[in-house]
Amino acid sequence: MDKKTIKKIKKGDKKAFRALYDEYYQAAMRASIAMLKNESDASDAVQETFIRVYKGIHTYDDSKPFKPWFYRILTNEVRRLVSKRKPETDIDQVPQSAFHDKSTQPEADNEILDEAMERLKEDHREALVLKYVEGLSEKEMSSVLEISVGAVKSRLFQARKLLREELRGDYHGQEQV
Amino acid sequence: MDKNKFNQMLEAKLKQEYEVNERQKEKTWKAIEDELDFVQPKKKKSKWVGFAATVAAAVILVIGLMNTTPGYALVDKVKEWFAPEKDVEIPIEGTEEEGTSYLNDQTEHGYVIYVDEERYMLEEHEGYDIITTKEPLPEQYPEVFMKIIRKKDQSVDETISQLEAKHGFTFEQTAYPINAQTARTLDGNNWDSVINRYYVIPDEDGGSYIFHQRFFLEAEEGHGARLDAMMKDFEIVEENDE
Repeated sequence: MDKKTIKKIKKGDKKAFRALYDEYYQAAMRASIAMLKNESDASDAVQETFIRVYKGIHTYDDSKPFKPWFYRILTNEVRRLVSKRKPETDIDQVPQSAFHDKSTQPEADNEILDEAMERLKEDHREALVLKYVEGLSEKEMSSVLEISVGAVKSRLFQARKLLREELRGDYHGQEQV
Repeated sequence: MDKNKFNQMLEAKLKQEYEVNERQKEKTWKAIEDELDFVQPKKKKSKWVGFAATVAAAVILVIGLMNTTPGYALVDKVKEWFAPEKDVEIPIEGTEEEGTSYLNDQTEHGYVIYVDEERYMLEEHEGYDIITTKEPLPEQYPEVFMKIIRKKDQSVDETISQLEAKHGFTFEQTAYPINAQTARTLDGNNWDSVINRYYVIPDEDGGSYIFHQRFFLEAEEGHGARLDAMMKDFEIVEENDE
């Protein structure tokens, strides 16, 4: 996002804000769906993210990259939605056995991966999405997640390790992905 | 599967392109627009900052009751009473925008004005002062400014006659944003059609002031409203002869 557009948004220019929306909408939806696994929730998160971006744009320091700032807001929104829905559908608390019922066992790799991702803890899933879906660098992730680069590396390592384990479980010991 | 291959596979499978649902996208945009329009700045009464400003406001109020032209100070010391900054509310597209304006002391030209320095700046030029956008507008946008020109030796009538002869329009008395003789030109109906607005008021010393605003059609509710708001905070002060 170029500085001129940001400056115009800071002045309240809605056309400039629409340009930002057009540029970031697709990526924001992709990341939100990957983290929330629900298009309706993802849409809510994206909507709220853009509202917060507009309202908070005056706090953005344009000497720094915009992308991590944007994803930090998006990630916070996703977290907020996850915490809101936790009492009903906390995917981290769903018993593992629920995903191993043979009658619902997915066959497609993508579905297997999706379900394995869902079983990861929120912070691990978040890290994998930012890294592999949005292609953020570890430095950018450090800014988004507000943790050190070392902690990002560690979180990614743990996330990959746990995902591999989940996938092994789905394939009864055979790693397919 | 080795670690690198696992990572590659992971990236390939996770990074499946999300196909934008245009209908959903526009629905979300509409909701965002509604929400942003819905959020209105907290309304609060404009206030002077500090005791000195309160005194100045009272003086201006009294003067305002005595005279329908913009408030002016009776003594040159009045300028000392103006607060260095003040909270303002600017009506823009049905909502009110809050902001802070800063005192610009142009006593040598017989006035003071509060300028929204977040967006604009006042510059002095030979024969006039000009308020322009702080950040230059991109090339495709027409100019935005408000010139304040003092015609010390020219009465309001003389100034009006001169401008009418030069531009071919006719002035009329209006009360908004200040009591003034006003004329306006518009050079088309496109978003970037240029608008010129002229306001002429007496300088309280036999001369006159011209406010020449220029902006473009799409900016009428934005820059136009903000320039008008600044005009409302224009005050004539007696020149300091010290």
